[in-house]
Amino acid sequence: MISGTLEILIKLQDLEHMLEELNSPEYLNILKESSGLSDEEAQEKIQESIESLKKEIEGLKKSLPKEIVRKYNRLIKRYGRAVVPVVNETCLNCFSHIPTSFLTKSGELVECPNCGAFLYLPIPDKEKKS
Amino acid sequence: MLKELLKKEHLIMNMQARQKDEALEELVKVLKFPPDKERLLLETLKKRESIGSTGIGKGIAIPHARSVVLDKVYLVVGRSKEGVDFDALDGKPVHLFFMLAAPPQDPGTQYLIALGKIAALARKLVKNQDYLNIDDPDEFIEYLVKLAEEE
Repeated sequence: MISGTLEILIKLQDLEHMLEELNSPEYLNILKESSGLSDEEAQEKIQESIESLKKEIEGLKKSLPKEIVRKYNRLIKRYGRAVVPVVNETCLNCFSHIPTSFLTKSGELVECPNCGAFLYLPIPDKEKKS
Repeated sequence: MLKELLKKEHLIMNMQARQKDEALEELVKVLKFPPDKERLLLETLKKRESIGSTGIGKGIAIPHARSVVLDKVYLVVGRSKEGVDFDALDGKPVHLFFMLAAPPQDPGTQYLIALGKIAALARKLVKNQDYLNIDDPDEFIEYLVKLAEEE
């Protein structure tokens, strides 16, 4: 079970990735190629999505404690990401080893002891669907 | 690249959904994720749709997102002979879905390259609608791979 704060942080981070993607030149080309929209139409469509996304991000931040938002903003500014998965006991932001004692805290709000990023820890096998 | 991502177990030949949210749920369920992971991915995909439909027109949609909860790139293909009301750019029902989901640590390349390849494949698929007439899953995947590899 994922804690409420961690869940909001994951959603926020996913939206930040969406924003990053919409801002990339590759995405403009993909949209034009797949939809047949003109350059101008595609840019307009992307801009509308970006504005809407920024509002969503601000809305989500309001539902978090101020201290968490400050930390989140600081991490985004510094690393471009604030919530990162742990794979093979490694923080995928700073690539430092995450102590085994942390790995049992899946679903809890845990920070990387090295870089401070919020960690998304793997879900134990017993919770996985067959 | 699409060949590696196209898997029979991630293919729905006859989708039951008729509406947008139902279609996303049906596509995500195929991945058999734990409940929290499934819900978070679904919410991200729904959010992506809310800021602009990925129904690109001519019967095809490419729902896509990157999410912290994923460990690798996943592609789920779903076909609906009846069509799904997906709020597509041309307002027409969607008959073929390519749902692409990737982790954020994907260095922005594999995911975007795959998205570009799917967009190119979609352009070829709309020329005729043969994909609606194939009923064997292996044949269906073979058809998509062949079309994707054609220059």
